Formats: sequence, C-alpha cells, structure tokens
Amino acid sequence: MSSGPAQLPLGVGLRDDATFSSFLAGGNASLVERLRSQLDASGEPLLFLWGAEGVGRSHLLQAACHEATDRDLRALYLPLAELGHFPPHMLEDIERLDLVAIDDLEQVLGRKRWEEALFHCYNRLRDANKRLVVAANASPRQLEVRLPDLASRLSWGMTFHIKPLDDQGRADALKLRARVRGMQLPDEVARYILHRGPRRLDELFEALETLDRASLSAKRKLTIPFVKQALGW
Amino acid sequence: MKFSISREALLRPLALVAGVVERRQTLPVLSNVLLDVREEGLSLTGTDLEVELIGRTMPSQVEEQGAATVPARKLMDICKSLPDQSEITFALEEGRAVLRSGRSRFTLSTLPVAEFPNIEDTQGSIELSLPRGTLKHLIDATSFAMAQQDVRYYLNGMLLELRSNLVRTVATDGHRLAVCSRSADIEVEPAQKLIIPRKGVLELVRLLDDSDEPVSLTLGASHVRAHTGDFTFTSKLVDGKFPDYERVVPRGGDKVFIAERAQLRQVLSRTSILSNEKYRGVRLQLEEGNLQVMANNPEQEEAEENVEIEYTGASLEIGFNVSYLIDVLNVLDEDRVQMTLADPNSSALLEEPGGGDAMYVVMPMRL
Repeated sequence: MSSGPAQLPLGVGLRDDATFSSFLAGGNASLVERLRSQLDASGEPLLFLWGAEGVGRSHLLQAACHEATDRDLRALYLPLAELGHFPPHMLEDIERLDLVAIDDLEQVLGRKRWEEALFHCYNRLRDANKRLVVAANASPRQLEVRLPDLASRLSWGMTFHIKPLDDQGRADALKLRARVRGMQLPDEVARYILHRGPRRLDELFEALETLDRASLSAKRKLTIPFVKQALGW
Repeated sequence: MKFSISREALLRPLALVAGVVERRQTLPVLSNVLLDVREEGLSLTGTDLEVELIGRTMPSQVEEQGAATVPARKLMDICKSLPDQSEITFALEEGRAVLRSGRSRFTLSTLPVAEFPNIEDTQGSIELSLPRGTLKHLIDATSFAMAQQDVRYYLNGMLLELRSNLVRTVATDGHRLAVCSRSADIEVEPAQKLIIPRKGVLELVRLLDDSDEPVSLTLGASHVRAHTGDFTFTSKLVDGKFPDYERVVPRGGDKVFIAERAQLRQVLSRTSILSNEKYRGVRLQLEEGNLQVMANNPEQEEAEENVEIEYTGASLEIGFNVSYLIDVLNVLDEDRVQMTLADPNSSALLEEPGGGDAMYVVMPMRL
C-alpha cells in the first residue's frame, strides 16, 4: 500500500467461512434446500450441480461439508482442480464417510484411471447409502466423459443448474458477506465496488478480504476514497 | 410533584445519570432526565436508548408525589454550582419545573413523561452476583483496548465471559488485545459470552468500587442489567460474535525479557515525544541485558534511551506504536513486567513475570 510506517493488524477479523448462512441463494433456493436436506434420512443420495465459473459451486459444496460437520457427520471436500494431479487413491474406502463432495469434476474427465475410480466411487457410496454431491462446469450431458458407465452414473441423481445472480443479487451477496465479517458496508460504497470491481463473485469477495485487513490495520471506515486506496483502484 | 432534597443527596446520582445522556440527541426527550418522586424515594433516569441508568436517593421531604422530565445537563450544572449543603425545592408548576434554593430560583422546561422511553424489561434468564471490586478490576484491566467507532460492531465493546467459577473480559481494537480473568464464586452453565457496547462499559465501571460488596447481574437475550445498591444499569448487548481471543494470544515467542515497569514506562514516554505524531512508532533493539528505545520524526529529530533488562538470548529489532505499550504498562500493577517476542512481524505478549491474571497482546509496526 504505502512505504511509510504501517501498523500490522491482529488476526481478530471474523472468519468468513463458506457456509449456507453466507450464501445468497437468489434464484437457487430450491437447490440450496435440496442440498441442505441431503443429509436427512429422506435426502437425495446423489446431487449434481453445474454452473459457470464464480457462481458459487465450491462455496455450496464446502457449505454442505460444514453442515455435515455441524451434525457430527463425517464429510470430505475434494477439489479436483487441486487434487486431480494425483492418482485417485483418495477415493478408496470413501464410503466410510457420510458425505463426499467432489468439486471441479471436469478436471479429471478423459483420464481412464480417474473415470474408473469415480465410477466405483458412485457405486460404493450408493450401496453404502451414503451421500454424494458433485459439481462441474457443465451439465452431465455436455461433459466429455469417456467411460459410458460413468456418464450414466452422472445423471442418476438430481441435477441442478446454479443460476448466476443478477446485479441486485450481487449487491445483496456483497453486503451479506460484509455482514458475516462484521463490517458495515454503506450502500454507496457497495455500489462503487460493484461498479468498479471484478465481475466474478469470488474475486469480489477476495477484494472484501483485502478491505477487511486494510481497514483493521488503518482503523478506517469503508469510504470510497479508502476503498480506492486499499484496492489500488 | 413537589419535594425538597439536599444538594449532596441529589448531586452524585444526578452526575452519574446525566453521564449517560448524550450531548446530541435524535429525540429531544433523550436530553432530559426523568425524575420520579414517591413516598419511598426519588429515582432519576437517563437513557440514550442503548444504555439506561436509574439512580435512587432520599429527598428530605415529599409534599406531592409525581414525575417530570427536565434537561439533564442544565439541572446538573445548576445543582453543581449551588453552595454546599444547600436545600433544593423542586416543584412542577404549570408544566414547568421550578427549582428554589435560598434566594435562587430557576425555571426549567419539561417534556411529557409519557414520551420518555424505557428499555423494555427483558426476561432475565441468568442472575448472578460478583464482588464489585472483581468486576471493576476486570474492566479497568481491559477497557482501554476497546475500539472506537470501528466498522466492526463487535470491536466497539467488551466481551464479558461468565462461566462456572470464572469471569473474563476481553477487548481488542484490531491492533492490540487485552484479556483478564479472575476466579469468582458463580455457577453459570452453559458459559455465557456477551458483548457490552463501549459506552455501557464506561458507564458501568463508574458505578463500581474496589469493595467486596456485590454487584448483581441479570443476563437477558439482548440486554444486561447490573444492580449496585442505589443504581440500576441496563445496557443493550452488541449482537454478534466476538473473535476467538485464544487464536490471537501468541504461543511461540522465544525472546523473553523482564523490565522494571515504571522505569520502562518513563523511557517510553520520554522517547515518544520525538516519535512521528501520526504513527507514534518507536524502535526497540533487544540485546543481552539491555533494551534500546529509539524514535524519530519527519523533522529528523531523534530520541534514544537505554534501559537495563533481564535478558539473555538473540538480539531483535522490532517497531511498536508506543502508545499501545504505555497503555499496557499503565494498567499492570506489578513492579516488573515480562515481554515475550518472536520476530519483527509477530505479536508481543506482555504480562506480569510468570503470568498474572491479565495478558496483553500488541501487534508490531513496520517502520
């Protein structure tokens, strides 16, 4: 920011975890409802969520895992964008868990060992009556799956398209995430950030994280001049 | 209504109650104090809708019971400036409050009693009592670290944590954190954590003294109430989570030195004279047996002090806002202070040597 003296902040900001209470459902209310009730006895065994970058796929999957942990169930979040470079050993014995959330499915498609491992993973989880939620950037039909058996498994469960938020929804989401962090974000500042800031929601929330730290360090209120300075706009 | 009261009986409760009244008000009636006189005594109420304080005192004579609201500050200024031991007669005449004492006469405006808001009587779920001295010590040891008007509502207050046999206060403004715990003879299951807003904390502590007399607390869902003898204090609570203080207290510091508290405080306050007025930064150079404190300002003026300390270990240079260190040295009561450091970017821990009931965490500055 500046080269002058700077007070380092203590880590006393509130954590903005990816939970259901920090997710603005917008037009995705029924999806969120299904996902939250997936762990009920009558819940869907398999859910498939798809949508464009930055609509909240990872947030929803992590929120489902947080919810499972809150219910004293065991859950595992597998972001294949990061884990897909490894061989699929992590899917072994996975049916011992209560919920498995597989993110970025498209990352491993076309790779024989991964597709086979996923196919068996589907079967084992279903046989063990455990829950699986999968997210990808396209619908099961549009994904390029080599293994026909896996392709059919992908469309076994309920499929939801995650709809992006409109402008009002984006404003509401930004304010919600600020509130989760305990920050008061005035309307005109929220409008400025939305107007000037990145289009993608995840990048927008990263900017919020930067502002959280900067305002803690500088003890400044969130004004437009402060936002400009802290984000280098 | 009509009653008479000695200046001394009125002044202390009036001063405390008027302290709650804000200078700038959204509702005109909030700048008034509510006087309610009955056979059993006179009660005075001041409120800003967040904090309410009721004080009780005994009039020397009650001729007619009743209630009125009058401007708090004017009433207090008048009572304060009357001679000692004056007898004051207060009467409501044609909608105005008339105050007589000796050959003085003051007529004050009033506002309808019905407009005076009172904080709703919340269902108190938990009642407990603490020695006043314990609560006062806990507040005094930590309140300086509360934030003022931070964008994070939860920092503009103090965490009061009550659990079985233990009371704890925590305050932080994001740069430093203060935590103080004391044992107490209370049963609270499950443990309660409330955030009392800054103003409530500052008003509450004014009602407390160092005695073992009890202050009884009533904890509601959205309010906390405290009774001390003649006063009833009610404050709204800050709705929200307070940061987990355990996450912030450093555990890995390996550079531990002990200094004479008063001496170190003097060194720091002298050095601070030539620190940058805006950032208040000072540089500490830790060496075996010696701590060097340096400051300079944009005018290229410099201060340098050396103070003897108990320390063996590696040397370290680290910057701090000098005010944060002085604040801590002011509230510690031991003659000596222990400071634990790790590296120039990690927080410092200040406490009594060997650890007392309070811990202070101060984040360094990059100079």
